[in-house]
Amino acid sequence: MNITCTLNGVVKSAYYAPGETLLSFLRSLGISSVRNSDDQFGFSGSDTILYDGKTVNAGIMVAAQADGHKIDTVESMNNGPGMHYVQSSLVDAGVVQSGYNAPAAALLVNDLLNRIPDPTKEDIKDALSSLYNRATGYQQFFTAVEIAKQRKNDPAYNQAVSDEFREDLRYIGKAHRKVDGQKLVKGEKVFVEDMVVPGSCILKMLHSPHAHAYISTIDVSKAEALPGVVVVLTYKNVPDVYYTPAGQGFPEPSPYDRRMFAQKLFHVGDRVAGVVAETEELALKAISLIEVTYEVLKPIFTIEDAEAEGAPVVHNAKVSYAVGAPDDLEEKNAFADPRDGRIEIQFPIGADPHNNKAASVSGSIGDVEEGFKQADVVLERTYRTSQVQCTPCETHVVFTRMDGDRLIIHASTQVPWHVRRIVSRIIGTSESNVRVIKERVGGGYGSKQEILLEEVCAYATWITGRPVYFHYSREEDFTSSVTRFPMKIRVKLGAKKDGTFTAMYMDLKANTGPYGNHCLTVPMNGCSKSLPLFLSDNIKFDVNVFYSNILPTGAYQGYGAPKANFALQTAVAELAEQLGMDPLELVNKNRVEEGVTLEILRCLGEGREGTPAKILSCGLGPALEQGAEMIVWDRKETSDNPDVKIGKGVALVQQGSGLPGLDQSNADVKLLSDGSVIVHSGGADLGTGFDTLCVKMAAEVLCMDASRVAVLTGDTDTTPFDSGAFASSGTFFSGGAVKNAAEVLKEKILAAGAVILGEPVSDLKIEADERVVGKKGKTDFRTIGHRSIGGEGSGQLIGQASFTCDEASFPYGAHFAQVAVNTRTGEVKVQKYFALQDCGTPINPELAEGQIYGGVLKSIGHTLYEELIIDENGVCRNPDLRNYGVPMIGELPDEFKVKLVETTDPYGPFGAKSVSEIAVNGAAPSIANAIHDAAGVWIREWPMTPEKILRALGKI
Amino acid sequence: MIQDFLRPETIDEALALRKSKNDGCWYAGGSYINNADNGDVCGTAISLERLNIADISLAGDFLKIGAAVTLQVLIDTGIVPQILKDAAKQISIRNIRNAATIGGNIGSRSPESSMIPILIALDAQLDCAESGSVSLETYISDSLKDLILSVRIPSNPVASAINKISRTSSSPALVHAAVVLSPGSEPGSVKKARVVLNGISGCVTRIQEAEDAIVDGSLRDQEAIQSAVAGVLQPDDDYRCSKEYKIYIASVIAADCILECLGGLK
Repeated sequence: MNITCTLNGVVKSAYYAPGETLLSFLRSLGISSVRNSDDQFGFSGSDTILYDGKTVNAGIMVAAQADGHKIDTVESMNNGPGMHYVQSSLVDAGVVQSGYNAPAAALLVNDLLNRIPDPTKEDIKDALSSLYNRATGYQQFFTAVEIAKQRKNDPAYNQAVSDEFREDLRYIGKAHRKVDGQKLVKGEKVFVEDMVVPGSCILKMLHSPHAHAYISTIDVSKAEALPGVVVVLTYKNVPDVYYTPAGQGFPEPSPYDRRMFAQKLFHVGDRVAGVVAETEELALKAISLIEVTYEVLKPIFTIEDAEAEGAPVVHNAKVSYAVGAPDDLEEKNAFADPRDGRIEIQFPIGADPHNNKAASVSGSIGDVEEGFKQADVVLERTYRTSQVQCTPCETHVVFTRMDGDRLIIHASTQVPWHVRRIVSRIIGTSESNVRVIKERVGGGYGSKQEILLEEVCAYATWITGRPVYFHYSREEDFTSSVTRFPMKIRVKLGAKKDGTFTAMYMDLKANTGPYGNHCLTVPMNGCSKSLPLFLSDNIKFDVNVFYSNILPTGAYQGYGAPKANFALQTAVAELAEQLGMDPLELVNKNRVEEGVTLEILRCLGEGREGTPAKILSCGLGPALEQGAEMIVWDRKETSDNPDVKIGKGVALVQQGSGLPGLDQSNADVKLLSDGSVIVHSGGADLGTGFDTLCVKMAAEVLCMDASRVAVLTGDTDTTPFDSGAFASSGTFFSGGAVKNAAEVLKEKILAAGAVILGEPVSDLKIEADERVVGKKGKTDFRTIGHRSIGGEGSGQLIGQASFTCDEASFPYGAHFAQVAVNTRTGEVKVQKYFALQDCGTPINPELAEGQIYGGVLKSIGHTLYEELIIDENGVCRNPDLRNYGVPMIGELPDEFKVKLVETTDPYGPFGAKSVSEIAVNGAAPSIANAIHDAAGVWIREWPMTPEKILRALGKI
Repeated sequence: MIQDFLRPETIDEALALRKSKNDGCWYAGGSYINNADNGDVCGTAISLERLNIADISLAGDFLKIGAAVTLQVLIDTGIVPQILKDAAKQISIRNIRNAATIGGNIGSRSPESSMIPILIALDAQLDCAESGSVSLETYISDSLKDLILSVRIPSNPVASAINKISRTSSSPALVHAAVVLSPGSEPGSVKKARVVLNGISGCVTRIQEAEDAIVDGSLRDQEAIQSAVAGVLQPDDDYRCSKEYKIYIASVIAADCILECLGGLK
C-alpha cells in the first residue's frame, strides 16, 4: 500500500506494509532520528515526531495515519552543517549525554518555544513530560530552554551553565561544547542500529518460560526447514565453552558459569534457542515452530531460599579451578548432573556452587567483639534492597558482519577489549581476527559492561558469513540482561555516649540470580565503598553471595555501593537517634578526612589482596558544611497540611576512580602535517563526555585550540588497549593515558623544535597557538608536523603512553534531602535534593553535573518507585518502563542542585577524580533518614512505597 | 495488529464499514489501540478522521465535545470546565494527550481511564450514531459499542473534585476518584451526589451507598466517609500492592474528594 505525506517539507509517496508503525515507516525512509526505546508503550518519547504540528509518538501510530498529513522530525531543524539554536542550547547546557533521544528533546523544546515564547517551569515540565531521560535527570533542561529562548533572537547568546574551576587552565574545569553533541542531537547515524546494512539477517531468541528447568527434548527441524531461516542455535550445536558475561579484566573474579546455550535453564527468559533468519517475521515464525519439552524443577528466588537446608541446587555443575581448588572439590563434583554443565573458576572466590554459594569473603581489622564490648550503645539493623534495572534508552544491541576473513562487531558496549577477548575465545579464533567498533552508546550505566548479545551474534556471523543484527526488545532487556543484585544487609554499630564509633560490622548477603557475573566484586564493593567512610579501629565484614532463579544480575552504576551505603548510612542515622545526637553531628564526628590511612582497605581488594590507602584529597568537610547551609539543616520545616510532615536527611557517599593495580589505559596523540592533532584512546565514551575530555586534555597539555584536536576512541583495531569504561575509570585512567600521551608528544615536539631552531630543548617552551618558542627563535607545530613526515623527516611524531596507578583516589560527596511525607496517604515528595560532590578537578563541569543529576534521579527512582516484580513462577510482571516505574520529569525534586566541591587529587590527571558512579549512592539513605525525620518511621527496604510507609505508621 | 486502515467520509459509511468488518474498531488517535500495554485489539481500523466530530461548543447549559477532540485540545479550550481539564492532565505525557481523544478514552473502558470517572460523576450523556442519546454510565454498564459522536456535560459544574494514585506521575494509576455534588436548596445540603472510582475493581464503580448518605446528610465526617467507601470495595488482586492498601487508599482519596466538594458547597 502507498501513502503520500509531507515529510520535513517534502512530499513523499512510499509503500508501507500492513500493520507497520509510523516509526518503522519513517525509519524505512531513512529517518534515523526517530528511535524506539519502549516497543510501542508510548512512554519514552524517543519516537517523538511532529504530526500536523503536534508532538506525538510515532511508535504508537500506524503508518497509514501519515497519509495526507504533515510530518516533521528533527531533520527539519537540520539546516546546514551547524546546529539549530535549540539543538546547540541542549548541547551547551549539558543535557545531551548518551543522546539516544536527544533529537526528540530538540523537537519537544522547539515545539514548546513555538507555542510559548517565554515558558514557565511548569510549561517546560509539561513539554518534557513526553521524554524519558535516564542520563541527566532533566534539571539542566531548564537552563537549556533559557539559552534557547535567548538564542532565538540572539544567536550569539551564551551564559554560564556551571561553575568554573582551575583558573590556571584554559579548558580543564570549564564548560566546553561536547564534541559528539552535534551528531547526537541532529539524529545522525551514530548508533549500532544505524550501521546495519541492507540484507542483514535478524537474530531472535526463544526464551525459557520456566525459572528452573532442563530441556528434555528440542526439535528445531521445522524451523530449520522454513525458507529464509539461516541457522538455528541450541545447546546441541554451539561451542562447548564456558565464560562469564562480565566484562572484567582476565583472570576474572567471576565464575565461568555460562554457555552460549545450555541444556539447563536458570531463569525465565534464559536462552533456549536462537534463530537467524532473513527477516524478523521469518525469525519469529521459526521460533514458533521450535518444539521443546522441559523437565521443570523447583525454582528458588530469595537468599533465604538459597541458603536453606536441602534447597534445590541452581548450578549442580562440575566445578573446576584454574588455581586454588578446594580439597573437597572432587567429593562435591561426584553429585554433579552432566545436564548442569560446568563451572570454571579462575581462582578461589569463596564459592560453593553445590550449596548455591557463588562467592564469599570476609575481612576485618582490629577486634570487633572487643569494640562492641567497649560501646555504650550497640545498634543492629537489617536492610533490604530490591531488584532494579539500568533501563538505558537504547536497549542492548549488536550488529556483526564479516570483512573478508575477519569478524567485525559493531557494539554498544562499555568494554570493547573484553568483548573482543571473550568473543574470540568462544568462537575459537585469535583476537587479531576480531574487530570491535564501539558505536555511540545510548546509555549503559553498567549494563553494557556485560557481554550479553555479542557472542551469539558474532558466532552466527562467524559460522554463516552473514551479517546479523540482534536487538533486545525492552522486555528482553528487563528479563534477559542484568539488574542490581538484591541484597540483605545486617549492620551492627557500637559507639560511646559521645558518638565515637568503637566497632562496625556488616553482614552482607547478595542474590546473584542465575549467573555469577560480578558476584564477588559487586558485594565486596558494597563494603569497600561504604565502610571506609567512617573511622573505627574495629571493622569486620562478611559477604555471602547466592545463586537463585530470579532475573539475571550484574553491573549497575555504583556497583555494590548504593545498597551497602543505604544500609550503613541509615544505621548511622538510627544510631544517632539512639544516642540522642544530631545525625549530622554523628557523621562529622566519625567520618573520613584528609590525611587518614584507611587500614580496612587491606581486606577490600577487588579479587585480590588490597592495600591500605592514605587519603590525600577529601572534600567531605566543605560538602557537609555547604550542604547543611543550603538545606538549612537546623530549621524544622512545617506544612499547612496537617497530614504532611517534612523532614531532612543526610548521607555521605564515596566511590573509587578505577581499579588501582588492575586497570590499564593507553592512548596515543599524533601530530598531523598542519600542526593539528588526533587523539586515539581505547576509552569508551558512553555519552559521559569522555571524548570531550580527551580533546580538552590534549589541548591543555599542548596549549592548542581544542578545535584543532580530533579524537577517535573505542575501536579495537585503530585505538590502543583500555580496560574499559567501568568502575569509574574513564577520567582517571583513560583520561590519564591521554594526558600522558599528550605530554610525550609535547616532549617530541620540543625535541623536533630544538633541531629546527638549533637551541637546546631546555630553552624551548610551547606557547598558545601551536608555537614553539626558544630563546633565539620560534617555530610552530605546522612546520614541525610537516617536516616530521617528509622524506628527510624523523617520522611522524606520536606520543604514546599508558596509565596505571597503584594508589586509590576516592571521590566523596554529601547528599542532603528534604521530603514531605503525607502521613494519610503515605506519599513521599522529594522537595529538595542537594548533591555536593568532590570529584577533584571537574574536567567537564557541566557534563559532570549532568551525570550527577542523572545518577541522583535514578537513585531516587530506586528508592521510591522502581522494582522488578516476579511472580511465584519467576515471571516478571512489569517488564516495561511504565509499569516498572522509572522516574520522569514529574518526579524531579522541587529544588534540585548539584554543587561541585573542588579538591586536587595528587594522582589523577589535572587533579581529577571520578564522577560517574558516585551520585547513585546517596538518595536511599538520605531519603530514608528524611522520612524518619518527617514521620518518625524507619523504612529499611527499597522501594519506600506509600504502602510500606502506611504500614510503618500503623495506618494499614 | 492493524492490517487495514479505512477512512470513511460519512457516519453512515463508517457504520456500514464497521458492520462489515468483524475485526473492526473505531480509530481516532490510536494511542490506546496501538499501545502494547493493551494487547492486540484491532484488525481493521475505521478512522474517524474525516467525520467532522472534533468540535467543542456550548449548547445551553451543556458543553458538547466532539468524540475526536484530543485531550490536549480539551485542556487548551477556554470553555471546558477546569475539572475536565484537570482529568485530562492526569495523563501526564503530553505526546499522548496530543493523540488521545475523549471518545477513545471512553471507548477504551480502561481501568486506567482518567476521563470516565469524572464524566460519569458529571452524568455525561453521549450522542451515539445509532443509539442516539445515552448516558455514559449506561454505555459502560451495557457494554455498548456504538460510535460515539459527542459527549455532553454540564457547562458549569458546581462542586467537583478528582484525585488519582499512581506510583509515579507516568506509571499506571492504581485508582482514580471523581466526585460531583449538586447543591440542595439549603446551604451545605446536597441534592445529588456522584462518587466514582476507577481501577479499584477493574471497571469503573459508583459508590452509591456513600452517595445516598451524602445526600441524606448522614455522611460528613472524614473517617465515616472513608469507612463507608472502604466497606463496599472489593478490589482485584494486584501485583503492585496489597488489597488492604488498595481499599485504604481508595477510600482516602474518595473521602478527600467528597470533603473538598462539600467544602465548595458551603
